[in-house]
Amino acid sequence: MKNPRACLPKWCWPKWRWIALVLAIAAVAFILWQLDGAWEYGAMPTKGLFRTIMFASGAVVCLLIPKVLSRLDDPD
Amino acid sequence: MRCANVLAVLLVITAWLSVAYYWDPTRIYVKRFKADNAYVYDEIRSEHSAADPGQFISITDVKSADEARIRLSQVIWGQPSPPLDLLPRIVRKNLLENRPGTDDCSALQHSGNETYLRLKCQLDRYEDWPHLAGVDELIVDAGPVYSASVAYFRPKTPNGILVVYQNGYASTYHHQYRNLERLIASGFTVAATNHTGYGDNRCPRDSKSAVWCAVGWARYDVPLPMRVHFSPLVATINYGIKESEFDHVTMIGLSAGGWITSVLAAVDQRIDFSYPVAGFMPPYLQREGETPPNQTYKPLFEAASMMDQFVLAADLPKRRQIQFFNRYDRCCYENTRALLYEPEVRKRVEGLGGGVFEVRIDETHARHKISRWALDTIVSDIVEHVGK
Repeated sequence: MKNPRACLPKWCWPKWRWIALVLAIAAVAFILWQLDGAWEYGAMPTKGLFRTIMFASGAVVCLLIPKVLSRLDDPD
Repeated sequence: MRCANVLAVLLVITAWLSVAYYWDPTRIYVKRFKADNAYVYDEIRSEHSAADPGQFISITDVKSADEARIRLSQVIWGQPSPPLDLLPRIVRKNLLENRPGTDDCSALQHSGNETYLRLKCQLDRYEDWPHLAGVDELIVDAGPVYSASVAYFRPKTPNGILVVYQNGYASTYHHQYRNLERLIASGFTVAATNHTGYGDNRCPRDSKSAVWCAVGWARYDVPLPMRVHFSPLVATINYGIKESEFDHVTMIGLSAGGWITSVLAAVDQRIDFSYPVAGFMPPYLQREGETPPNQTYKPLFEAASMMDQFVLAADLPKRRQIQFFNRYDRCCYENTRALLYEPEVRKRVEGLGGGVFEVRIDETHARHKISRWALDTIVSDIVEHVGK
């Protein structure tokens, strides 16, 4: 079965690869935040961590929406 | 479906860009890219590099240094020396064990204004620090109806050095908790206070003290207004020396607190080492809109210019002042302008037979803060030069 894909014009990747990428960036942001004290004045401020996780969560939700919708359309 | 996919891909890219925007090492490139011109962070304006910093320094010998210090003290306290007998009016010992009432903390917390943070409401933040023996609160009268609060953090294994920390505008020392924790873990006793008008030093608008807080915003309607900034710190040093007989007194200040650090080090010779961070720029090097409200009291600068004050802060062999500036500061005093006056001030300090004056440029971030690098440098400098 063909992998579901997410594309920009002329740029398609399997969805799992996008999800891996977005989880990686959330993890990177979290580790940078932790390494410098997990606070607002660290090398990665708390505000930056929140923003990054917010964008990453949005991306995951958008990637999974088609799958959820298709299940709702075809519950069997 | 396709729309959700495209949005997802854009959000993935935005998440990566977000890390680049917020993480200090990459933020520097973002800020440089966004700078209006090369003079913001990189180039020095020709009129700045051509100016002779020596023309702004009047101190030439020990006598003129002593006279300048007396003039400063007269402007601040109306007497020729700091009030060495001034002590806190109230000392609340061991706040972690004797918790004060916190009825109004919830209202302050929900006000949404982080600059209202009060010590009694923030004690939970400090109670688990492994190297902290206790926190006291000093209440110091700095005028007939204005009192300032100083948090006095006692380490479990004190190293005989008092660090006075002065915060600046737009936040409180509670926001610097990681830096305070690191100082305490190194054995320093830390006395931290806020700028006038912040945290416990806030004056409600309709209160009698409001006119005193207004000094922090360039309204000088009270007698000897500069007391507001400096009396609480002098009383704290008096108290610290009386209680613990410290070997050294040092001072660190951020932003507007950096300027307060610089002036107090000039006027109070008990401060051996001083480290102002991103706190000022001599007027001849300032860009438009770079003078903060608390640096507008003319009599203070008529008594001794800002650069005279730098010389005074390192006028004895045992005294050191290292000024830190953030090269890519989002707020102010950015670039490497401060290096222009360093050689001249150092020459004058040497001429007095004084100690060390240095300017260090922090290139590790693009914010208005004390970075890990800056604090590490400060701690190493203190430890290295104690007893010399």
